[in-house]
Amino acid sequence: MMTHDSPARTARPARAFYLLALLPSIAILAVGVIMPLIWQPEMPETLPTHWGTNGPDAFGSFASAFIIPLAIMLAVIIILTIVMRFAGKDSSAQRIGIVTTTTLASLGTAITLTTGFNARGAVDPTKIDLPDAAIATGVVIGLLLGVVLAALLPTPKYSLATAHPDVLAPRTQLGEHETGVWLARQFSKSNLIAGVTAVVGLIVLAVVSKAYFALAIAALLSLGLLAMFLWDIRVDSSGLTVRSSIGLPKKYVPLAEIESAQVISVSPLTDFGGWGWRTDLNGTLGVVLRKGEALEVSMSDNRKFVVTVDDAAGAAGLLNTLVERSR
Amino acid sequence: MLYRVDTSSPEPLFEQLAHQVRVAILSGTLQPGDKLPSARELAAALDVNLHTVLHAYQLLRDEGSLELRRGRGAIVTAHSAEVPERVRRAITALVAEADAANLGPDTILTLVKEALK
Repeated sequence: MMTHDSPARTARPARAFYLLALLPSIAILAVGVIMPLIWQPEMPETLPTHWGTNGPDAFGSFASAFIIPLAIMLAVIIILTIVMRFAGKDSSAQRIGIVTTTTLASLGTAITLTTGFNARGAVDPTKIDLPDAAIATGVVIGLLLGVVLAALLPTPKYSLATAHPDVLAPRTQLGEHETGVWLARQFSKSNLIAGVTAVVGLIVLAVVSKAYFALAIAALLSLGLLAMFLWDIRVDSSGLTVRSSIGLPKKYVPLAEIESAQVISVSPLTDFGGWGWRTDLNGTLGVVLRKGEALEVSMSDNRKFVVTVDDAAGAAGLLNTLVERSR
Repeated sequence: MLYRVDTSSPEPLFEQLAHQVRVAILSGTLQPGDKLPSARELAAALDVNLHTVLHAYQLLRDEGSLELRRGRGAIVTAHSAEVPERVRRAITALVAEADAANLGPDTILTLVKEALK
């Protein structure tokens, strides 16, 4: 049974991605420009364009304070969207893209809305504050909205794999009446280091800059990062499941979509540009927790998935045997 | 770590699982302090009864290989499991001899059990 190569099948998710990544973000940025424009008559001629630890430390015109930053933000969002669409073959990478564009747009708008509001009726531009609490709230709302939008991205339907694993691929001997599962718990040193560094760094920054509220939110997010330092990897008759110990993120590859599994060696920086949940230039999704031994799974529709894990040979062997059994 | 159960084997499933954990501990695949998957997770993954896995874990706990703690799960205990190379070689030799003499596992195990008395 051949799968018809339908451009429509790939076009629909693409359109959905662009819509979700761009439309709400552009709308948010539009609000961030329109409201200050409405308030402009009530603002002083000179406005703050940058804030330091002691209040505004750079000034400029209305355009440089409100229009240009949002224009730059818009450009960033558009570039990000295009990059994400091509580099992020996996829908999870595209979801991250949607959250990112929405959050960035919310950040830009939160800043212009709150400082614009503060600038109304102000006489002395040096007294116009950057209200970090309000901005942080705006960012969090944007983040939550981004998450909701990301959840709306449809998951593409992938073809069933028909190939058998390579003859030289590792295999586990399983008797006719034997069932096998392979379970592993992988510790992510990179998550731990990133999380601890972020939390400690943010605490120091909070003390120095006194922007406690904003940094409290950022610290909470870093704790989320930290919480993902244990990962559960499972191979069973349903396929391969990789999830962080708190449940999300999670990647499930059904056995029916797997063609073959093998052991490879991963170098995080050169292969994936870093650690964590990443995609490489070929669109391969990787859960890169450390350097070294990894399980690489080849799937239908030319996809690959990589997860760094100890005893990858055990996982690959069982996967190949189960795949063969099911074909 | 690989877990397997053979439903056609005369050996009870819980014993098969317990055996695999014992071997993993002896070979160093499982280290003291390592946490085994939760009984529920393992039972679901292998499609066996939860009580089968619990039985295996309890057996291992009674032998001193596992510690079962509420909320923490099944942890491999820190008891020394170093098998000297000489013993391992002797066992490999025994298996080879038994094979050559066409003796089945049951016969050999009976003899070893008798010798251990």
